[in-house]
Amino acid sequence: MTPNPILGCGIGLRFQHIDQILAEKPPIPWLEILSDNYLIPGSVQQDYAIEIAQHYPVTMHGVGMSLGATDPFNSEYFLRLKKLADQLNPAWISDHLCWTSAHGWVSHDLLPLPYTEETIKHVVQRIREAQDRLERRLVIENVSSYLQYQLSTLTEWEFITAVAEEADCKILLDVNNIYVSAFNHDFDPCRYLDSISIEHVQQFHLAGYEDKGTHLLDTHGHPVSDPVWGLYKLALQRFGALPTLIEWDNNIPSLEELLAEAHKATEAHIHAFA
Amino acid sequence: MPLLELQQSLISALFQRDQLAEAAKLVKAQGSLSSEQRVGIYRNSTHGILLDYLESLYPVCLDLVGTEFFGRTAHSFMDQAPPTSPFLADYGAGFVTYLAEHPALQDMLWIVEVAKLEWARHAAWHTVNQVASDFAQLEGLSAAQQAELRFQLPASAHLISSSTPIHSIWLAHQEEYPDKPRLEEIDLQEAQQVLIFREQRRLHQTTLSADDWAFLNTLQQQATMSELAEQFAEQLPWLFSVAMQEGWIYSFTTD
Amino acid sequence: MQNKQIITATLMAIGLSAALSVATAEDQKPETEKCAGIVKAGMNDCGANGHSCAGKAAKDSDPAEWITLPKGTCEKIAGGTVVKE
Repeated sequence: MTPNPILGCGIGLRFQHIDQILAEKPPIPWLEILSDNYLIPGSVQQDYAIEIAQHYPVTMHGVGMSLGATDPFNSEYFLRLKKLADQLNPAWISDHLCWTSAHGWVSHDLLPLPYTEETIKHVVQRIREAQDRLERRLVIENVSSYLQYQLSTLTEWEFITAVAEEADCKILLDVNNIYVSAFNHDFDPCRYLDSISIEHVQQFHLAGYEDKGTHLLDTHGHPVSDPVWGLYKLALQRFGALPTLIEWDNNIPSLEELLAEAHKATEAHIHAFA
Repeated sequence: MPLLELQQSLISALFQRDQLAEAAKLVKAQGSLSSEQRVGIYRNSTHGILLDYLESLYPVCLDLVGTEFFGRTAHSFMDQAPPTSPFLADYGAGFVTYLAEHPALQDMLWIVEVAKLEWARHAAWHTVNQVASDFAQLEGLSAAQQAELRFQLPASAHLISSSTPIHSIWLAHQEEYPDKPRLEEIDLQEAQQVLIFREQRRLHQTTLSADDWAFLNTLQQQATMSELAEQFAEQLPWLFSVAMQEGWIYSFTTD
Repeated sequence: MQNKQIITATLMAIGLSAALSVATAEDQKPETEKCAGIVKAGMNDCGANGHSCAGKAAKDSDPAEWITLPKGTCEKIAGGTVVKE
């Protein structure tokens, strides 16, 4: 069955809003389901996700594939993810261009990779394997980062472009993450945008960061900042009015407030081309 | 340096503070932050994510011991036992044992009992759905089959017997809860038997009378109907009535 | 009563209760019920914070030797052992 089309500006589904969404069924263009929270087969949490997917177009977004790790893939993780996808019929599945596990330990945080030719080869092979396991093309997201490795020889935009091309996957461009990393590593975010090939980008993410003085922290705990709205407008002009999603994970606001933030993104779609 | 070694070094720093300096050697110093501070941001972020999760798992324990004590204990727990599964809901059972061994809690081990209850709530919520038996089918059984019947509680059921009133303590910490016990009036010497189980989209938590407790425990040990009749005699029909109406019995087997 | 009679009476009780609980299926009740001593909670109360892709700031704890004492509601509970300073 062809999944429902993903159009316009949606929101990430959070536990706090599920009961309200199911009870009131407010108009929401689409919802992103954080896969990792629904991976116990036959659990009540999956029941909720399945019910949401019956009423709204959904995508699945994950944090646990650990695409850049050198530990072997966790087969159980991929089996459960595939099974969930079979039930939710998402338009696509995304995860991050990063690693989360090593040494048998799992950080549950998104850790950056060293940007080298060697890493490209490794990650490309891992993404291909992940795509085979899930029997679909993946969408990979740029992470925000707070450190750069001595080892890195490439810029992040060179790295992500090469990976997407060679692994034949799509890109979820997180505009806030670009802005956060640009501040933290002192590069020009516009240059980043301009270097990403148009045909690879599938979707945008927007979120709010926290200014810690010495660095920006990607806490998803605030409204989208003005400079990120500015960068988003440039992204729309370059890549077109692609589906966009608001992520909010800390200080989670009311559903109404969250939808209002998504509405601002919809308005940006209109004004970007005015 | 191969990717493997780089990742092992960095993840070690996330869960072992004394590895920070070593991992920092891999990282560029930029602007006003040293490379060690940059690795430190990740250590803090990983710990912050896991602390958030543990606080949401053990909200009453958090209130009982306060945020500072909880935070410190949780941070040292993470360093001692980092997560090893990509499924976050698997993490945190060991925190109960960790609290039980904490030197500052040795005179207040009742707090550990509350932690056990909170973990049971989490585990019950995540137990997979089951199909209930059709009790109408009991009618067609022969007398011999009837005697051999065994009954099951929901798979999510946790029976907790505690020497302290864990249910009352838990209730006293719930906001907007009518007639909740006042903290000052709780008698720590009162023993309580608590049942936690999930029924579709709702988690139930209730105290049990001594009779119900004994009955459900015997059921859970898979006693047969004739053994139950032996043990509970005339009380048995009533015990079953209550248990059935409360949703404590989920299925039966005849083998 | 003989075991056999108890069993017969019990099966009747089970049959009645089963029929009764089907009749009062709880589908329409609110998601969270709060009445004295009985707690029924749904997703809002039970879903522990899950995964997210957000970063966090946390204060790194000082070395482990420095042990703090619990300072929360435990101090209010009657009969609770007073924490030794």
